[in-house]
Amino acid sequence: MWYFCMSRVILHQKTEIVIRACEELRRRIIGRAALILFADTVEDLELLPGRVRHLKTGKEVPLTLLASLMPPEDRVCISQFIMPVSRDGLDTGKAFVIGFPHLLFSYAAHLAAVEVDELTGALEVKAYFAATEAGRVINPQSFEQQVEGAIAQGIGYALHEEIGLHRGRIVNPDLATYIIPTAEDIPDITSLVVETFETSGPFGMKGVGEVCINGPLPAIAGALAAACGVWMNRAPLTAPRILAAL
Amino acid sequence: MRITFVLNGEERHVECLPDRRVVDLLREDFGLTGTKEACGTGECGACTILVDGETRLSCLMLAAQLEGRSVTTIEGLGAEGCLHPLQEAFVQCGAVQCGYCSPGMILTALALIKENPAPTREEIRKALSGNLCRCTGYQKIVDAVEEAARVTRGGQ
Repeated sequence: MWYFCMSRVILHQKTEIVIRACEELRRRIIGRAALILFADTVEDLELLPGRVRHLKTGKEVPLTLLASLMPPEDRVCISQFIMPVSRDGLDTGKAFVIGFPHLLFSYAAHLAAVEVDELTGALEVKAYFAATEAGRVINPQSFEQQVEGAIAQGIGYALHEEIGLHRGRIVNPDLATYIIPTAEDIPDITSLVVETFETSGPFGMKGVGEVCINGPLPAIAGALAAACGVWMNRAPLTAPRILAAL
Repeated sequence: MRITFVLNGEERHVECLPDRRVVDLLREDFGLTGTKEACGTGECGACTILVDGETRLSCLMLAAQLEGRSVTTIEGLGAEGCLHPLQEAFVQCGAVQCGYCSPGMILTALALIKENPAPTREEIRKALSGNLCRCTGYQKIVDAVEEAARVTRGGQ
């Protein structure tokens, strides 16, 4: 399945802008440190946590001192970045005259093992596997957190979560009636990372925020079809709906 | 009315209305904001505290019910620079994302480990099923409780 999401695109833009602003600030800090440390060239200076070090002499100057010597306008760095447009010529993007504003597509493949009770229609997800490609992985634990959290939400959307409306009012506006998954509803999830390097992305990343939310519904519906031979065309796949279809 | 109870190991006296909710008493009168309120109707478990070692929902409890009881909130676990094994495991396993459910999760897990020092993953999931989490998918929380139980048993 393919997927895109605006928040991830914004993350990409913001990260790129922050990187550029930080690079400018680093240049200014090192330039200022060169004056104090009598460095011949800024090449010999390295920005370290809390200080700048002159590599040839080992002399250091703390950032607090450098900051006190910088006029206020030097301490603020402003940067801008124009989002690149999609490299894929998508049919849905033809109306965008300056280009379709999604350069980055994360990809995922999901497998769900389900158990269906033919007497009640109740469906339980017994095991889950996800392979995710979202560019470079900076923090493997955060990456897994995003994948697992998204799958749990996706299972909720696939099996239980539905806003009921009656004459324009939401009839299930609380956690007693809008049912989200508990620890017992989510199986252990195996997450495989397919790591790539996104050349346009900040540090090779794409962003993994929500790519896994969309997988559970089709994966679970597919598993149900494989097990019972019925394809559901309406979500969530509640027990009464499954029972009616069996 | 005057209520006397033990809060995180220390005897406390408080003058308040008997129908003041315990979650408000803890957060507003005692400044213990580690206890969170989310739904306020006993569905989510965010406000879980321990009363005489058992999990209770502080949004559904009234101040007068604390008379003579012993209350543990998340502030009663660990100390500055010395986390409780459960807190340590939550950090190490990445069981915290937004963190809002964490105090309730940890106190529920503490009650579980006291009762069952070697819980299976299924038993952990069952024990935590009254505490909702929207971020983690629960997996790393189950990992953390498993790990904390192992450490508490002495590392076997």
